Amino acid sequence: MITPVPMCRVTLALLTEDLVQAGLVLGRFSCFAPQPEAREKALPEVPLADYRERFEQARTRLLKICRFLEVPPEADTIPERAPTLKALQQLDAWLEEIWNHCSCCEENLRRNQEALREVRQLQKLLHSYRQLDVDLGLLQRDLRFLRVRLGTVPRQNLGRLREAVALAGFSLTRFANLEDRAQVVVAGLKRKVEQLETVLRAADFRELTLPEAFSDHPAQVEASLRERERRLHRERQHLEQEIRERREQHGERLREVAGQLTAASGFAGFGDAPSSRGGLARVSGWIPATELENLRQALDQALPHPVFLEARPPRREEYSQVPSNLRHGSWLQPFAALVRNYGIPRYRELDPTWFLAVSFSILFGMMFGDLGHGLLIALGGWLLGYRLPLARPLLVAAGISSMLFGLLYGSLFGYEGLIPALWLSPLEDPVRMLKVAFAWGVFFILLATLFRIRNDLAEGDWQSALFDGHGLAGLTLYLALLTAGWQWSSGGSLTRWHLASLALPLAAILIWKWRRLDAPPGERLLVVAIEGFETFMNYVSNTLSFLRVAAFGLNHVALALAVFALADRMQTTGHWITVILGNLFIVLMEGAIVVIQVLRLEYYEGFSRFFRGDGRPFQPLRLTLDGGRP
Amino acid sequence: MTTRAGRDAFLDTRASLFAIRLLRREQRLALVERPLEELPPLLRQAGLETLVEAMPADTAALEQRLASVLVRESEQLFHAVDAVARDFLRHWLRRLELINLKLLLRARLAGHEPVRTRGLLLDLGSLTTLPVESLLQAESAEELLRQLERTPYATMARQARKAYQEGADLFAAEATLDAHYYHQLVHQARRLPGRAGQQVRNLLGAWLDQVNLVSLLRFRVHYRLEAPHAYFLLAPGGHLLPPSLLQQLAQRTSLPEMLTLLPATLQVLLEGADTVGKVEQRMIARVRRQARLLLRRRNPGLARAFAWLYLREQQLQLVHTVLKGHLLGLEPELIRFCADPLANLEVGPAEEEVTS
Repeated sequence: MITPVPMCRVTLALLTEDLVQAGLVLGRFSCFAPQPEAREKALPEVPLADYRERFEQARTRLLKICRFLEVPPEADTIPERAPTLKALQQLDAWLEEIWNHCSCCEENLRRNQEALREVRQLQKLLHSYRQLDVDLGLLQRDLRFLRVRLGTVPRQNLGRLREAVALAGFSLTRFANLEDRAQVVVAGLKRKVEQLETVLRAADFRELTLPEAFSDHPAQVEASLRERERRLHRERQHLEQEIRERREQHGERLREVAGQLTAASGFAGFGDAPSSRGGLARVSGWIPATELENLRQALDQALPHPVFLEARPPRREEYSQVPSNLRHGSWLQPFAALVRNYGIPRYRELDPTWFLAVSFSILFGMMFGDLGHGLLIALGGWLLGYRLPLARPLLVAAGISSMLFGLLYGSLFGYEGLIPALWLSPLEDPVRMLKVAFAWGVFFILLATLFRIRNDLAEGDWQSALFDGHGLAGLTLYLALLTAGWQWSSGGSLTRWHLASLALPLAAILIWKWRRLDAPPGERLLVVAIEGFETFMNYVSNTLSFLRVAAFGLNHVALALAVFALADRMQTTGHWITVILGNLFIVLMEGAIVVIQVLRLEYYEGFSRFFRGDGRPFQPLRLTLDGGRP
Repeated sequence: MTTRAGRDAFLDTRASLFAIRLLRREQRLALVERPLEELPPLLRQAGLETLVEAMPADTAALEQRLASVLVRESEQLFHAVDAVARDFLRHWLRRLELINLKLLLRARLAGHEPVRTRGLLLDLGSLTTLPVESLLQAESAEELLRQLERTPYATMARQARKAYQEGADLFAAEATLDAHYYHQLVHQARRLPGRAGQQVRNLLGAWLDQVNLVSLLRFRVHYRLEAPHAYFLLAPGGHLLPPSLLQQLAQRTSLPEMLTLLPATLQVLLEGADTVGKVEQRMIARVRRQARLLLRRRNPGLARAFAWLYLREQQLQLVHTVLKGHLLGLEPELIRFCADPLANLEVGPAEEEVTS
């Protein structure tokens, strides 16, 4: 297709109670893109808001549970009927119960992890204290006047906490570091302890609880800590066992619920499109015109009550809203991706994917013509395609084109003369190469300008088609420029006819720009003068830009000569190693540069002339639990 | 590749262009005084054409529109600075995300429905780092904090969780988030090199003085926090209020007592201020004055950009106050009462030089 698929605007009028089922049908249908409408007085309500809210809650809970239990949130089967609100509420209540258990389990896991971390800190602490030879028992005794606290704080809080506790007469001493936390002792008068508590809490102070015999029997302490660690590991195993059991217990039911929710997801995918009043609802959207009858049949079969379907082609003023449904064969996909990288075609615009595919291949071949290098690229693309399927068609097309031009240039792995040139070797006649590149540029720009005129006419903007710098006036100006340039370069002088053919289209462009611009006269004059000059210069510079096609063709040969010059300085082995590495370098480095140059020509010299790229992609409603609008 | 000189020139030009959008004092007063239908020229001058084209229908939409303006303009600044400066400016703007985060925490504790909370959150576009949707769906404060631990707010979340768990106290959690924010901000500012970095730190120091003094007054006089706790929650890196002075201030429990301990510059500034609100206004005026001076042409681009950002936020706050008053149908006197402190803050003689 060289334009997006023709679309129909459809409006479904149905009973509000059937909306959810309609969502399921349209989701399965996968060809309906909902379109929100301004709410009318007749249908001011948002239908089934409760349902949507409940669905969203249940969906989120399901995904959280599935993530925690490591169950893929996928349905085995999607039921034929979407769940009712009551059924959805029951599902959600069940999911809430399960999630509460899971959340509790997740929290316990987290606490277990914290406790384990604390035990490891204590083990390090014990190690530190052994070295310090301090009576640890002192830290645990309930002293009459002194309050001693042992714990950890984030290292970044240390300085400020030390200053803060000093205000309450306490001292803070760090004695060890563990990851991002510092182990500290806080000591001070007992009567001021109340002032201490709040600041310790704010500073994320975590008390280290010492085992009773910490000071007296280090071996026992170590054993006690190991025992605590073992207990925590056992607890963790229990928790993990619990998770496994829940997975086994609920796995099947979760998949069933996923199916139910997937069936309800079509309605959620409507977004703001439906409107209603009481029991009547309406939803509008876009479908490919060819699918209209299929949609009608699907709805009639699946909905319990009648549905009124109104369809019409899009109106001109709606063109900007109509999504562009582009269909490409698999081999065009990489080129379509390059087009999408620039923008999405408008509904009535030409889809430039074909144009890009053909011109990209030709330009690449002209700039990188070599039978051997092309073969490497094509083979590489074919093999790489097993890992990167999208790259295969692009590389194979570029490789084949390179091979064909290699035959025309008589170039094989940089060697000129090994095979006869069907046309000419670039270095034999560089001027001819430049002329061909220039002619190719002229053809490219003329074609792009014609595309622009066609796009403007298709959108009903005939003024732009006639008078814009990229329209008919621009085309005439360009042809006049070419003719005048030809005359001048052939040694002739410019006639009145030449001058008139330049002045008239330029005047038309300037007048049109003047009329379009809404600004004070001075600013208008300035803008029109600059834009007029820019239009003129753009044609010249864009055409000259194509001389790079010849330049890169010559560069390719010159680079190969440089490789051979280097290789010739070596002995036999070195010679062939240099030739092989040099050829690889040419294929990889020069190949990449040529691709960039070709894309630059396509985007700036081609697309910018005729392709606005601000269309909307066609995103039909689908049954999915991923949450985003389909 | 952009050179440093090129980037500075670009940033400098950008700051100058943005400075034109700052309303002068008489324009600010006119914004407060004039009826709604006469505001469009002033809003246009302030670079708020979108508000002229279509006035938001409600206050939430207004807030969002102004936040979007700030985000968009900040993004333009980001293009003109290097990575270190960008990190600092991004962190400065993270205050907006902190508002969202606190709102989420409060909503979770109050058991509000996600739909209701979502409508109150600011959409910060490219500045967003919070996974808002999943946080909205958290079913308990613990779950929310657990989720936060998987975000750039992980460290803040761990400390806030501790504060929350031990006291189930929202104030403690929020104060911890703020304290952590200031700490990070000062850390980012210290990484800024050269004269520009020094000037940014000076302005930031003045702002932190304001934050610290006002917070300390609130903590000690209004909330009756213990001195160590109040001191701990303050920001590091103030300019005129070093830690030793803040420690002394923290041990006082009344406004007059604290004012007597302040350095002479601040004592003169705050003379006669008998409420925390008045202290705040005068401290803000001091920061504004400093920002205006910094916005002068001869200063480095980054310092000017930061000064502009500060002043722009103040101005958007003024526009917000005035338009919100009109949207709510408040009496002109009441709008004036609310917006006057923002419009009429004492400014230095430098102001006119900067924007003219």
